[in-house]
Formats: sequence, C-alpha cells, structure tokens
Amino acid sequence: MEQIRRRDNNRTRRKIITGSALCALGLFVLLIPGVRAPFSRTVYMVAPSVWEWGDGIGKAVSLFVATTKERQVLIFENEALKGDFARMEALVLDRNLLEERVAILEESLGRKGNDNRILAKVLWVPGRTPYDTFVVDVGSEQEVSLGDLVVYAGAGVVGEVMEVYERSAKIKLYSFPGETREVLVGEAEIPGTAVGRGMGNFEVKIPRDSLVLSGDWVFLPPHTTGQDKFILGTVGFVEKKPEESFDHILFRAPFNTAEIQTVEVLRTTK
Amino acid sequence: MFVKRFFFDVAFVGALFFAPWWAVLPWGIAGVLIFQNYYEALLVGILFDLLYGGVNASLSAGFGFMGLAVSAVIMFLLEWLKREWRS
Repeated sequence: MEQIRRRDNNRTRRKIITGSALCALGLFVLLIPGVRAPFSRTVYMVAPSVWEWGDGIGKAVSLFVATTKERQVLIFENEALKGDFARMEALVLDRNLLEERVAILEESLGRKGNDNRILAKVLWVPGRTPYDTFVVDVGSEQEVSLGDLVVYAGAGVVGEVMEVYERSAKIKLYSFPGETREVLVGEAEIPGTAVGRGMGNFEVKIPRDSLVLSGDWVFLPPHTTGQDKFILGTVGFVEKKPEESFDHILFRAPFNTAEIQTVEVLRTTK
Repeated sequence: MFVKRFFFDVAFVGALFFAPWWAVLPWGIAGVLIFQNYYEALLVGILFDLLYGGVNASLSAGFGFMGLAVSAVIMFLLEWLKREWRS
C-alpha cells in the first residue's frame, strides 16, 4: 500500500515538473521578442495557407448547400447584404470627411496625395479570440511594414500592423484592451486619451460639461497618423458624475469589427 | 488509444485555426479529462498566443500569454481533480 502511494506521488511529481517546465519554456518563447519572432515566423509560414484552404472549403460547402436549398441561398444573400450594409454605413460617415479633404485640396491647389494604399483580405476576423487582433493576406512581399495604418471603407481607422510576415500581417485593433491613444472628440475637437476596451469599444475622459453628444465623431489627430484625420468611432454614451471633474465618453467603431472582410493598409514604405 | 489521441490532437489544432476561442476551450478540457498527461493542451495554448497574441501586451490583454495561462490552469486543476476522484 505504502509502495503504491509512493509510486503515485512520484508520478504526480513528474507530471508537475514536466508541466511546469513546459510552462516556463512557453513563457520564455512568448515573452522575449527575440525568441518569439522566429517561432511566430515559422507558424505564419503555414497559417495563411491553412486559413485560405479552410476558407475555400467553407465557400465550396456553402455553395453546395446554397444550390440545393433555396432557403440557404436567401440566408447567404442576407449575410452578404449585411456585410455590404455595414460597409455603406462607414462610407456615409466618410462623406463629410471627403468634403473637408476636397476643400483643403482645392485650397492648396495641386497638392500631391501621399496615400499608398493596398487592399487586403482578412484571413482571421477579430472577435474569435480575446486578443483584439486579426490577420490579413498582405505582408513584407507587398511592402507592408510595422506600424502601418489599417483603414476600413476609406476613412474608418481600424488599427495598425503589429507583426509582418512574408505573405501576411497581424493587425492590432486600436480597441486592443488597455491600449491608449490620443484622440479628438466631437465637432469642437476636444483632445483626450482613449483607452481600448476590446471589440471596437473605447473610453475617453474629457473635461466636465464639454459639448459632446451621442453620435459625435471621434478622430485620430493628423499628427499621430502622419496622414489626414481618420474616424476612430462614434460617441455612444456620455456618462456624467457630479463628483468628478471629467465626463466619461464611451464610443465605438462605426462598423462591426467582427464583420470586416477587406481592409486597406496605408503603406509608409514606397 | 494512440491513434484516437492523434486524431483528437489534429481536430484540436484545426479548431484553433477555424473556431472561436469559446469552442476551442471545451476541446482542451475534454482532452485533459479523456487522456493521461495531456500536455498538448499547453502546446496548443502557446500556439494560440503565437497566432493571435502580441508581445508587450497589457494586463487586460493577458500580457500576451493568455492561451498558455488558461491551458496551464485547466490542466493543473483538472489533473488534481482527477487524482482526487481516483483516491
């Protein structure tokens, strides 16, 4: 009996040691950028192909089911229309920004545009993991580099490139939990620091009784992007607490980040 | 048992690529409950962080090792429970 207990204890100790060693190794790989990079590169040599392959199979299966079931066709069309609708909403928001941009262009007559955009397909949509990241199918081969801005529907800024691989890049949403960013709130362009709350949600504190209403826009200031003003979100809720000298503004991206299918990467390298 | 475990692992990694996190989690729990010393859960946790996480993440973003932390907690907790149930 004593022998069995001792053997059980030895096995448990071995399990704990092996598990702990694996955890320590994992932490070493994940936390040290120099060690993490080659592992990430290796994973991302395979991952884009796996996603594209899976996407192809998914589409083939959907098509097969859709052609055999009329109801399924309608659902499929409905999904596609929903995606288009979200995109159109963001494009409508873009209209006034474009007006402003045209006015500036007219003023400076003949100013040369500095946009160097590339269209990218989203391989892995945000929202499927607690990390506010997603993966696109363009990378260093298309001259995408670290810190490049990622824009949806022309003016809605989504995030920036955090890791670049040969044929893919990982994008960090600006709403990444805990991430802070300078913003301009409302028509009065009140400066503040927005904190990411995940899945396209943000919070920003501005001085009490500032004139900000639900539906106002929140922008990234031009000096932080090196480009024009980009819409980061629309104000959803203004929380006023009498005991505080700040108003809490809750805002979110003007589109559903989980439904993004294509984005534009603004390349800084030319 | 080895073949069964191999196919379970393939499906587990497949789920990591195509399913949302809340669908991958029960897979890991099932693996630890069904198989002995299911260290694959820890490896999948590391793979999860490499695929979707980033370096220098804040506390609210799990410091970039959320997958490893969750899989380690699940593994050690369930292994301990399994041992308690047996004795």
